[in-house]
Amino acid sequence: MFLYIIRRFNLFIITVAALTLIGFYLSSRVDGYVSDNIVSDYLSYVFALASGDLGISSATGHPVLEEIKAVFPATMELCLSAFIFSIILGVPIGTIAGMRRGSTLDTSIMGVSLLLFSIPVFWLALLVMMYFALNSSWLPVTGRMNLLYEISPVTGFNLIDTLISDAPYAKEAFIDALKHLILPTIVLATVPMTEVIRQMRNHVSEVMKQKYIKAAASKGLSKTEIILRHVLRNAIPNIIPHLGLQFSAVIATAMVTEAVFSWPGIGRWLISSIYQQDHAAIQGGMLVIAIFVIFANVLTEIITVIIHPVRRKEIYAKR
Amino acid sequence: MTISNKIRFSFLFLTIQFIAGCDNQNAIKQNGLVYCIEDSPSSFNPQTTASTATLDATASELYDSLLFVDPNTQQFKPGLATEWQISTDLLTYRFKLRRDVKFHTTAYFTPTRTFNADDVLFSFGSVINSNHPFYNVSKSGYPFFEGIDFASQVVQLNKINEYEIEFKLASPDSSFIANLASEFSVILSAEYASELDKIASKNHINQFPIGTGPFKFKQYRTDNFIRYQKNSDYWGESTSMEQLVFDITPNASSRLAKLLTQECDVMAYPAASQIDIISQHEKVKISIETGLNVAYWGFNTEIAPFNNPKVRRAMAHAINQETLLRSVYYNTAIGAKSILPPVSWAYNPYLKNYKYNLAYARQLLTEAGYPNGFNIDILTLNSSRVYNPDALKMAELLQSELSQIGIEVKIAKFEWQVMQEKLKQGDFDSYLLGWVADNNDPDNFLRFQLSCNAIESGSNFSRWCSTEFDELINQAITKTEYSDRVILYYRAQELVQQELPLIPLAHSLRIHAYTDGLDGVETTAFGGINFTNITRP
Repeated sequence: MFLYIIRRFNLFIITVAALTLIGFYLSSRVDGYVSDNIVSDYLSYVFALASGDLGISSATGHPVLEEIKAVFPATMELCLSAFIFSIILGVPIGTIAGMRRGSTLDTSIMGVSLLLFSIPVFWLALLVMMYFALNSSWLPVTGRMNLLYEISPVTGFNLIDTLISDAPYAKEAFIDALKHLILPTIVLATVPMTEVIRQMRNHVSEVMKQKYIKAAASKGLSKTEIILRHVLRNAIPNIIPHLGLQFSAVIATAMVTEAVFSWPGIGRWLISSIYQQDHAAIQGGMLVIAIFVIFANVLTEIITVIIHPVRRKEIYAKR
Repeated sequence: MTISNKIRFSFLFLTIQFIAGCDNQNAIKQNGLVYCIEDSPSSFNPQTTASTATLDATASELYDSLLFVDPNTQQFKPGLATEWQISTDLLTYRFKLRRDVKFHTTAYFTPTRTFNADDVLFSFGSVINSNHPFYNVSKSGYPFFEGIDFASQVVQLNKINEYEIEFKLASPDSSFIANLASEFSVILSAEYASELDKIASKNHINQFPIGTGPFKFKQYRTDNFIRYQKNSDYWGESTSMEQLVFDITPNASSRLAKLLTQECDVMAYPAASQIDIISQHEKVKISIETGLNVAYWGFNTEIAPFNNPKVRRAMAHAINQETLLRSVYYNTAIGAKSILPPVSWAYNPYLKNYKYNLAYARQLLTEAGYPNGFNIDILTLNSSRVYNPDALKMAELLQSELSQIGIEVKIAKFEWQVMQEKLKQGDFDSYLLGWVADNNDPDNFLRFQLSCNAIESGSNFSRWCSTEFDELINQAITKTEYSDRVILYYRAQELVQQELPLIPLAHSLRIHAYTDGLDGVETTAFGGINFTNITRP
């Protein structure tokens, strides 16, 4: 097991090294500075990165790492919330479709999710925003929390910070933060949700064909018991590797969502850095996102192997 | 299975409805105000800036000036100075200062004394004296003070006693009071400055501001928001808002969305095209003020054929102001006859308008010797300005009008820095530009745009130089009586109207949109919002 994890992390390190090479190349292009000893330049660049020195933002004059620390949790909060939302909705819907494969219900679920899958996110975001801003004003469409609430960041996650805050308005602030989260979450969750539905449907219908389901039914187990004990337990581990891939897609889509909903996360920050031609910020932001995505993928692989018996043999494989 | 899912769904929707239905009327919102502005401030010291966004976000909130301008009457009223005297030779201005005015107490500074003459000496000294220890702290210089040549105008600045100061001028200048009452001439704390000097962080004076204004600085997140807190020690009328937050939202559509969902209470600069949508919305109100600004079409009066006033007049007759107001401003501006806007006290209401008449325009061109027209370049800005939301569109409208009298227009659009360079070099035929007043004195409009000296200093791009005009405006600033000055300015405007180095096009209205839950939304004399009287009934 330990060896397996080391192997996976080797992959992580190699990919990150490749990334730093690209980053180094770009930064030397931007600075227009070429020295005689590229290797030692590269090494000092990598050491600076490793010690958390991502440079100074030319737009604000603050260290890039500090700025990323301030905006990244907002992105994480949005992505996690969208991710959880897509699973909570996607798993049951996919299960229903998979259990009744071929029925009208199945066809209509798949039809709707194909439609949702094909809608461009920024367009959906604008539609949602226009509807909620112009026609009904019962949900906020921009920002993360009403700015009048002053909550000092501890974890950077507003939902947690408002709960642990001792401000007299902490509870109101929590509800306010939750309200702000709803629309961006729905928009961001749309595409991964359709993916969860599709995967869940395939694996559930696969499991339903198995003999042990028939055996369980003939033992007299109720339908709910069959689903909980056999169907879900056999189908869910299969979709976890797909979820890992979805997570990187979610982060990419989050950029667009943040821009439309003025969500103060790393996506909006990066876009404004591009406008201001703040090269240090663009490079630092890209590097942090890329490392995070790779890390998430490696992590899901490890988790899959741990909980999925079929793939556990990879631990012992000597490739 | 389906049943358990139904339960789950209905639970989810209940939660959403519960959250959505929650009552908004809680204390923090009742006592706070969010203002959506268009740009981040470049500094928290109005002395160091020329940007409207910075002024709007800092000047009247954090600071006080020696004098204020009453937005309704345009008269001066006491600020940090309670009374003032002007000597008979018009060279000495003496101010009595207000007592017991406290500077802000914040997390980073606790004042030990109240406001006195030293603070005035510091505030103006750091601007006019290039040897002053704080002179070089501002990286952007002091654009307003440099523009009016404040340093050579003020020969001496004397402290008479703790609560009395005296300015000695080089020559009589009746716009001096207006300059002191402008939003740039704020009073900073000398004590705070010396504290900062001791800990070697002088530049904090522009980043962590200390003033005497109705609000004090709390927090700033670049490109995100500014948080101010009520100054409970304020000497003037105290505000009912405990908190004032500026939400920085560059995109006009996002600002509108925030206003409609009540994320902001007040929205700056709604786009002209949004006014219709906003006025249809029942929960939103609009305040419209005539702005102290002008948009004009200027000519390079040094080169033919634009050196001929007849040609310029012909072009003025070919402009349909109605169309410009409708298509460019969506009727959020008024047509201009003079460079001065009607709200200025020196505005000459007797000026005649150049009527839209293409046949007459063609006749004038023929008389001037150009029966077949000519080619002309128009330089335009590629971004919107207070006085002109869409210069490119305006240029295109002019293009189509002028083509009918045989004038072929080529439009060139630029960033401001590039355009400014071209204008300074004289490398152009004509340009679409404008002016936003720094103070309420007519001198500020006329001298900067049209005096002979301003050709050299680079703000009179038309290069029009008239000794008669210069004499009129120079004479005007030596008079103290409004009535004397008005006559001279009337004459100066007539002269500009005849000669037409600049064709005035429009005065943009200053529009704010705000939610209907607010009372007492007033603008300052310079068009910003006055937050002190706003209440939520």
